[in-house]
Amino acid sequence: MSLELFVLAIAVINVVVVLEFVRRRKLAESFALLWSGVAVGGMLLVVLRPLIDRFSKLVGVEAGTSVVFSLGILFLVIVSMYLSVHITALEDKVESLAEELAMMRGIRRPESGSTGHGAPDALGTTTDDGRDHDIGGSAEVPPEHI
Amino acid sequence: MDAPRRSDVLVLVPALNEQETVAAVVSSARACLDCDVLVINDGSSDRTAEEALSAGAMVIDHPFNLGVGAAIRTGLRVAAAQGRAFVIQLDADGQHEPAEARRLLDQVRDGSADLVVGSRFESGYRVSRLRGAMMSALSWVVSRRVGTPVDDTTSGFRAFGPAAISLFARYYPTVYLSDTVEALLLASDADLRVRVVPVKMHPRQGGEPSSKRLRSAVQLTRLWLVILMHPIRRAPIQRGLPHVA
Repeated sequence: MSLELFVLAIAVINVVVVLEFVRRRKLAESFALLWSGVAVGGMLLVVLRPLIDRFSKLVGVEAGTSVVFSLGILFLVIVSMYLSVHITALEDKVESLAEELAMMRGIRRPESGSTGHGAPDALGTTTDDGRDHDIGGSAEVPPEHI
Repeated sequence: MDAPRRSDVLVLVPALNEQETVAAVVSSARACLDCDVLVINDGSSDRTAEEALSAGAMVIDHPFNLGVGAAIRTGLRVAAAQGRAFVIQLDADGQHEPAEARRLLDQVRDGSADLVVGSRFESGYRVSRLRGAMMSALSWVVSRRVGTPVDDTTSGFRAFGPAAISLFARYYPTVYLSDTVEALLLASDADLRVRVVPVKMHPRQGGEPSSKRLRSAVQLTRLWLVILMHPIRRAPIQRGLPHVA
């Protein structure tokens, strides 16, 4: 009996915390749906306890509690996997952006009679910064300043 | 820019692999309106950008696909940076009739509205019953919140006035469906006047594959969460680069 209350309490607290984070705009709504799904899964485990007890006897597991915890852990593993996949995609994008930024900064070329620094000017100037913004790229119509 | 004279109207055309239609859309927009056209190339792998340039549009290229919402946000930030007074959003696939854009523009030009939405339903555009029911539900809730009847809440055929450009350059929701529906809620919060104008739209070709249906269901659920929580949510923050004033 106390197991049910425990899992239910966790699920309710989960949903409340998630919604509060969404309200504060700290959590994207899609993650809110994801974690709410986990909470609903947890609540289902409580509600379907009789079914789980029958299922565990079928599978040969002694206690229904073991199945509840196992399923709970399974949900969390699935969510963690999904987040890892998402992080992978984000890392790819960050890399891509960093490379774009490098190309926009331009290529520093060795200058004759220079100090050898090739250092750019103060932030924001694009002309006399010792960098060559013509990468020799493919665009027929190179972008201009907004 | 060394252009001889800049129009106070910027037409935004977000485009992802629309090489067949984008040039026609751009030409038509330039012919019907006194405007400049900016095509936001949202990671196209085809010749969309080249086609747009050859038709006389300006093009800005996203490093990778970010979605229609982000494309419009980019466009609005460019419009704000360029000091444009009016912005029109137009689809690159030819669904929106550029000649109809004039009617949207007129409403913001004469100062009677800050955000004008072109509604496809009043001109007899037909959708499936399920989709129709969903759009009615969205319309009912949004119309109540905004204070004006809006029957086409997800329409991307819109005109923005200076107040709207200024608001959305500070924060614009980019997630699919939020870019249209939540934008209406945010506009209303900022006391912008929203008007709806019936427009003719060409029907979309092709159906929805089943994998898209599941994604649409998730996106709709997310949207409803946004709509329901909107009144109690904190003011949105836009992280990242401040827009160039």
